[in-house]
Amino acid sequence: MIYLILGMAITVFAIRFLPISLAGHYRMPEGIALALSFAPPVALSAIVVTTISGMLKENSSSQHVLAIFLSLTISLGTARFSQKTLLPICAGILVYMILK
Amino acid sequence: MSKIIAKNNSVTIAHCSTQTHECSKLLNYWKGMHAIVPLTIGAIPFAMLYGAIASELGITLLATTAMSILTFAGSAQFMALGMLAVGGTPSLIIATSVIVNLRHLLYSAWLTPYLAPLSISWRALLSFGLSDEVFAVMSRHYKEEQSRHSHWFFLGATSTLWFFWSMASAAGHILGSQIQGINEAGLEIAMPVTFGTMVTLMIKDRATLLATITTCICAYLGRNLPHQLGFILATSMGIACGYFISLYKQKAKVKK
Repeated sequence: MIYLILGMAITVFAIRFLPISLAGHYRMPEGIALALSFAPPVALSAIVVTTISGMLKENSSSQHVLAIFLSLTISLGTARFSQKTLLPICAGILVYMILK
Repeated sequence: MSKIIAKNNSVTIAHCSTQTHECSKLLNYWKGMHAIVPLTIGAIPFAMLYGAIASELGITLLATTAMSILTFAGSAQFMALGMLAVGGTPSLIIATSVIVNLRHLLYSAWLTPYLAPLSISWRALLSFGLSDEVFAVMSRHYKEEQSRHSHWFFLGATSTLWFFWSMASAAGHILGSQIQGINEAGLEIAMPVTFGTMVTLMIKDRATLLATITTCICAYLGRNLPHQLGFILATSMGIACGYFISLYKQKAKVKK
C-alpha cells in the first residue's frame, strides 16, 4: 500500500509540476498563451458535463432530469446576477436536494 | 487594511495599520482561504465518501488519510479504490492515475506565466495543491485581482482545501457505513454546481461563451469515450474555438 500511495503521490505531483517547473526557462509563444487563456472555463465546463452525464447514466428518470436542470439553472442564474460563489452553490445544492 | 481584515474575518490584527509586506501576505493568505470555502462544500462530502469506501475495502485509517495528504487528487483516489476493489495492481493504478490527472497539465500550463517569477520551492509547493477547485479559484484571481502576493492567496486556497480534504477523508473512514447514505442526500450535485458557478463567473466575452458552449457539446458527444478521451477532445475543441474566434476578432479590429 505504501508503494501505491507514494507512486500515486509522485505521479500526480509530477503532472502538476512539470509545466510549472519550466516556467522562466522559456517564453510561451503568444498563440499558445492566447489559446490557454480559454483553458479555465473550458476545462471546468467539461468536468460539469462529464459529471452530469454520469449522474444521468445512473438515474435518467424525468424527476432526476428536472432536479438537475432546475438546480443548474438556479445556480448559474444566481451566479450571473450576483457575481458571487457561495450563494449560487448553496442555492443549486438545496434545490437539487429538495427536488431529488 | 486593518478595517478590511476585521470586516472580513473578525480577526483584529492591530499591527497592520500600515500596508506592510507581512500584512499583505497575511491578507492574501486569508483571502485565498476565504475564496476556497464555497468550493469545499462540494469537496468535503466526496472526501468523506472516499474515506467510507476505503474503510469498507479494509484499507487502514492511516493509509486512507496518507493517500489524501500525499496525493490530494480526488478523482485519482476514487479510481484507485475502484481498481483495488477489483484486484488492480499498484503499477496499473499508478499508470491510470496519470491518465485521470492529465487535465492538470492544462492547469499547470495555464498557470506557468503567473508562477514564473517565484522560486522553484514555491512553485513546487503550489503545484502540489493544484486541484480542480484550486484552479477554479486561482484562474479567476489571476485574471481579476492579481497582485505581487498572489502566491500567498494560492497557498491560502490550497492549504485550506488540502486540510479539509484530508480531515474529511479521515472522518469518513471513522464514521464508515453511516457516510454511505450521503449519496442519497443529493450532494453529488455539489461538484457540477460549484464548477458551473465558477464558469459562469469567468464568461466575460463572446469568445469565452462560444468556447464553453463548444466544450459542453463535445463533452456530451464524447461522454462514452474511455480514459477521459471525451474530456481531452472537448477541451481541445473548446480551446481551438476560443482561439480562432479571438484571432478573427483581432483581424477584424486591424482591418477597421
